Amino acid sequence: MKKILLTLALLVLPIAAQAYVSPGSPAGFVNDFAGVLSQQQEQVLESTLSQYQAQTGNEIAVVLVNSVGDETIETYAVRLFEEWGIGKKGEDNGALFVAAMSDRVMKIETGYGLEGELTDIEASRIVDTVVPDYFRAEDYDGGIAAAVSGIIQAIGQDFDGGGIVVTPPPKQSAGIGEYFWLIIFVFIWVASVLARSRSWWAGGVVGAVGGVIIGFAAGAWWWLPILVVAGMLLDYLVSTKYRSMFIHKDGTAKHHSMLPWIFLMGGRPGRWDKGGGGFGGFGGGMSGGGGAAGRW
Amino acid sequence: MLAVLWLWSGYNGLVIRDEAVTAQWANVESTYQRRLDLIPNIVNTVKGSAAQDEKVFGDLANARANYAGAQSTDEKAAAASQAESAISRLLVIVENYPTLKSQESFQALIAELEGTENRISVERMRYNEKVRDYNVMIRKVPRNIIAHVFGFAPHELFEASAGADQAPEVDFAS
Repeated sequence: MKKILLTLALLVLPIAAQAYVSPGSPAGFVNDFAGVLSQQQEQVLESTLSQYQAQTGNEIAVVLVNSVGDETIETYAVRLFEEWGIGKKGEDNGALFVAAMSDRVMKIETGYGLEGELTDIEASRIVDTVVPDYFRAEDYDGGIAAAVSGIIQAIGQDFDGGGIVVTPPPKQSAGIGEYFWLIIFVFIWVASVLARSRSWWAGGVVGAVGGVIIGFAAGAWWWLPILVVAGMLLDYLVSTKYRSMFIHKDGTAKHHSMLPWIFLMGGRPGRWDKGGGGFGGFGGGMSGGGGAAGRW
Repeated sequence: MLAVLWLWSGYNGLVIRDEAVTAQWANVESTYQRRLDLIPNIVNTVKGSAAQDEKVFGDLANARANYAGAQSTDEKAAAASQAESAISRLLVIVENYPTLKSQESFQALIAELEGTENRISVERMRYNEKVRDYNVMIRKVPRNIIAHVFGFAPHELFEASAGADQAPEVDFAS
């Protein structure tokens, strides 16, 4: 008996591992299973999409999940579209924007009836060039707003109302974001060298060199005096504090943990409340793989 | 009387599922057609930059001609897989032309092609589901008797992962 059960389990397992796992049933046009949208934004989107549906008949669904599991985003989108039946039956006038937050992939899946309006080219512009800028900066509210308004514009039917505000994506402060750890590292390294040097002027020299580099690179020469003074000040501070900060009285090095800071840096609120009353469910529309997929 | 009723409903059930398979095959074909319609546009765009890779353009033209001349579903499937492998070779060639890849018109075509390939895989997946439905029905007792008597033969599935270079083996002779 046990053997049979085991065999059955083995037979079932590979199938189960590959199967699409439904995120649940739709609570409205906007379904944030990953909990990344602000409550306010979710309500704005929900009311916009429900007005849009009332005026044009088209059903646009937004779904945010954590992961698509073993599926590709393409198959996941088709299965989810099939399960929920987005758009009216027969008209197939639905569209789905689905993103898997931890997989960092997204897909616009177009219902058969909207393939002429929301073309693959327009969909790929949205998922390739518009939304990633927001998502990379973790501005999920802004990204979804841009995606929804992009889809509505692409379909291009008369629609007034909404109240979606599309703000430009947050400036990727290219330096700080990507070079943050490098800057910190260089700073600590310079500080430790200066501390050991016991001179008070070396910091000024380092500052001057940095100032000249910035002067040539960015043409901002006013940095030069500031960096010279800052360098000297840093040198003075670390030279006097070095022994007390990094070395025990008996001469062994102290260990400073950097962990607490790292924890202070991340963290975003993850709250999710169901928005929107009166959602009557989708209409049973079908899609056939149209649209485009993108990643960020 | 009961036997007649049973025969009637059993036979009709088979016909309905058989027709579903045929209808879904029509969907697969329309996505194939969509792909073939795209080919001239892609060729025109790529030819400007990659004129010396003539062989692949010939292959694409052949695949198109073969598909247009294909009568049976078998021939169509063969021509489609020919087109598939020619397109994937073309995409490999394109990798050598970064300026071409960065052209907006080319990127739009690639978006279109990706959407089309995805549509093909979706319609094939649904085709397989319909075929499975039908095949299960004709093999189950007692309907297998009706199937046998009236000559309902099993349909064949597309391979699970019909990739660009794996020609799908399809037998539509039934």
